Parts: sequence; structure tokens; C-alpha cells
Amino acid sequence: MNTWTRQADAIGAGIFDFVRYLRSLALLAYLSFRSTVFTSWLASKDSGLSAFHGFRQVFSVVSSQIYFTGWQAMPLITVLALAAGGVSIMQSSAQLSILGGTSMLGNVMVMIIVRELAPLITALIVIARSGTAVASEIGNMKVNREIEALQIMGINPLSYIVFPRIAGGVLSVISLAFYFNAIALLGGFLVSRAIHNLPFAFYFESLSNAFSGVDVFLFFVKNGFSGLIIFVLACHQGLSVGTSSHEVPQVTTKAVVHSIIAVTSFNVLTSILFYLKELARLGII
Amino acid sequence: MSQIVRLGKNRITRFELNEFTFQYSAGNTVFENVSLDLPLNEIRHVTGPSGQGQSTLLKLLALLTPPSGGEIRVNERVVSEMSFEEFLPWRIEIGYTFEGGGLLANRTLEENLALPHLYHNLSDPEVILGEIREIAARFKFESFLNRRPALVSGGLRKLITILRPVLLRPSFLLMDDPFSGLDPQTAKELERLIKELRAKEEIQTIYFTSRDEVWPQRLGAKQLWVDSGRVELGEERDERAAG
Repeated sequence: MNTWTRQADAIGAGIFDFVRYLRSLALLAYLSFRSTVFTSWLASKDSGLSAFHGFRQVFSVVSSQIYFTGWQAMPLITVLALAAGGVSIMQSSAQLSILGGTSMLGNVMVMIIVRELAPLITALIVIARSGTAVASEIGNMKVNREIEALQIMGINPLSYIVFPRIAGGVLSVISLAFYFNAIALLGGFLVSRAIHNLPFAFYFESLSNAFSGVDVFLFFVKNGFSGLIIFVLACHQGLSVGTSSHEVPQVTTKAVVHSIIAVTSFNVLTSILFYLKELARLGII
Repeated sequence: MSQIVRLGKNRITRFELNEFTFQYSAGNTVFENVSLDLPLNEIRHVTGPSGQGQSTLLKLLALLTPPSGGEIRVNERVVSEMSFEEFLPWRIEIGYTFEGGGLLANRTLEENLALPHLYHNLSDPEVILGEIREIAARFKFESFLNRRPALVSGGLRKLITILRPVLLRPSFLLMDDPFSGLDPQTAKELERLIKELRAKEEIQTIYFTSRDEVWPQRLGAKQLWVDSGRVELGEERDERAAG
């Protein structure tokens, strides 16, 4: 085999591995949802299980996940959102006042904060705090045979371990991103008030004019999928641990690296598609 | 002990291994073409020379690991052909106690013991919590019920991993070296509990491994011999040796 053929083989194998990895991630998300929501329908008819079998226990794990991922991240989000909002308005208002376009402040804030920074910074914080925690927790559960213990108790680990982390994680990311937006826009107002003595009514009107339905759509798509990507990856890596505790830090690092690459790529791709659509709408392309 | 509500209609009445093979990796075969209709309603000591796969066999019987070849049939149903949910009514009739680990680290001992009952709505929370307190008093660990596993002794952790399936009253109980690591008094109390539950037919079949020959004798256990990839009933092995 010559060098070119070997390289082509390596690329082909890499693509196959990547597709297989994506397939196993999608399968994990689907099976965890299926085993949780449809348990009583999937179980044999003569099992005697109630329709809300296991729901209360699963719900308690979802609420703990929201507490750890959402509630406990709020102080850090507050600091970063205030800083992001303040800095963005400082930079943009200086330029806009030179050009006489102060009324465009709202548009700039919506473009920078709501569409780009909020989803990305929120996702990065959640990866650093909770993606690592989930991957290492599940990895340790695997080593400690807790996953097997759940199976033998008739509790599907996909339903009790994976689904609540994904559901709680997605809800937390969406809520944190909403909170980030609110605090960053407030931070922006405080800075513009301090520097330019801008009245609140003017700032609020500028923001209201800038918001559109598509921003709400982008908000849910970017944040919802970021949450899904982070927690599916973290659970998948955690479950890939065998029987040795030395694998736990390795999968935790993998979960972080893969999540950062996936979330950043997803956000960039969504923004590109959105702006291409905008350019097409304006007749530029 | 107060009565817990069970699903009740799915007791294990037949457990068969058909041309059952298991290997950890290529060339590392533990069991090869084992066909056996496991005797139920009795206590069996899974024994044989060290390292022949006694614990692996229990794990396979607990359906925690799928066989590499052949099939396991429970009550005439092929386990590998059923989803986790479809097999659930029979799965909770098969109890398994770990030799080490297996307790949820972020739950207290009480929550660990109550989890399967509360998850499957097997009993009223007050009934199962009452029973847990009764059993804790019997084994003298009431004051540790609200502690997490990391904050209690290894012996108590081991006892909880045994009591959790025992409280579910499975018809088929598999125990991996249950008596090692327990203090003599706790081990004797466990023996009494097992005999009581067997007498009441709440637990019908018990298969266990033990490094100590005393416990199999005390429980009146027959042997299930595991050696060189074969699984054989003790009585058949004795007959073969005599003949």
C-alpha cells in the first residue's frame, strides 16, 4: 500500500469512528427518554406496575440536577453576565456615539449578548462545572458497581441516571442562559447610565425594537441543544468507564474537550446558517 | 416482621442454561457449552477450585452480564430476547448481593434499602420504612440509618448490600461470599434471618459462594460445582466419582 492509500484509509476509518460515536450518543439520548417516559407501556402487561412507575424517584434526581447545575451556578453567571453586558456596551456605545447611532444600542446588545455570548458563555460554564461533575460521578458509580446495583434492583440506569441528568441539564442551561441575558442587559444599562446618562425608557425601547421572534427561536435552539450536547456527552463518557478508577479522570477530560468542541461548533454553525438566511432575506446573496 | 406488598405473580419457577458459553475475551473462556436446568427451592453452595468462575457464574445468573453464546431461559422465556422493561417483573424476583461495592454513595443507608420498594411502588413508604427500622434494630445499626455508605464500616456496608435484596424477598437469591467481612454475631443473625425467610417460603432458592466451609454446612446447602469451564450439580459429580 502506498502512502496515499494508507492516508485515505486512516481518514475513512476516522470518519466511520466519528459517525459511530455520534450514533451511540443519539442512541443514549433516545433510549434514556424511551425507558423513562414509556416504562409502563414497555413492561409486560401482567407486571402489575403502576403507570407512574418510578416517576417520583426520577423527578427527585431531575430536581437535584437542576439545583447543582442551575441554582449553584447563578453567582458565577451573575459576575460574568454583568461583566459581559458592561464591556459590550462600553465598547459599542463609544463607537455608536461617534457615528451618531446610539439608538442602535439595543440591536448591538441583542446581536452580541442574546444571540452569541449568552449561549456560549453559559455552555462553557456548565461544561466546566457540571459536565465534569456528571462524567466523573457516573464513572465512579460504574467503578463502585452502583450501575449494576440499579440493574439488579430492576431500575434501568438509563432512566434513573442518564435521563434525569439530561433533562435537568437542558432545563438548567436554558434557565441559566435566560438569567445571563437578563443580568447582562441590566449590566449594559448600568454602564450606559453611568457613562452616557442614558434614560431607562430609551434603553428599554431600543432593546424592545431590536428583539424579534427569531431571537426567541435562536435562544431555544442554541441553549437547548447546547444542554443536550453537554449532558449526553458527559453521561456517555461516564458510562464508558470499565472497572478501574484510573479511567475516571481520563473520561472526565474527554467529556470536557468533546463538549467544548461540539458546543462551539454547534453555536458557530447555527450563527452562520442564521446570517446566511438573513443575507438571503435582504437579497444580498 | 410486617408484610410488604409484592408484585407476587412472577415467582421464578424454572431457570435453564442452554449451551451456555462465556468468555471475558478471545481465548479466555470461563464456561463452555453448559446446559443445566438449575434446581430451585433449595440452597446451593457454588464451589470449586479458586479462580474457576464461581463469582462470574453468580453474576451471569443475576443477568448482569450477557452470555457470550447459548441462552438463559427464565420461566420458559429467553432472557436475551426481552428488553429490560419486558423482563422487569422477573428481574426483581432475582436478588443479588455484591461481594464489595454496590451501594449508592449519595444516598443514606435507609434510602439505599428503601429505593427498590419506592421506585417500583412495591409497598407503602411507611410500611417499608417501618420494616427497615425493624431490621436495623435486629442487626443493631439503627443509629447509622441516616449515614451515607462512606461514613460506616466495611462490615456494615456489606450487610446493607445483603439486606437490600433480602428485603425484596426475591424467589431466587444469589449471594457472592455473603459471610466474609461480617462479625460472627451479625453473620449468625443473618443465618437466622435467611432460615426464617426460607421457612416462610418468602425466599425459595439461594445460590451462594463462600470461602468458608462452615456456612454451607450450617445452611444445609447442596453443592453446585464449577471447574474447568463446567458447571455440575454436586450429587451428579459425586455419582460420577463413585461410578
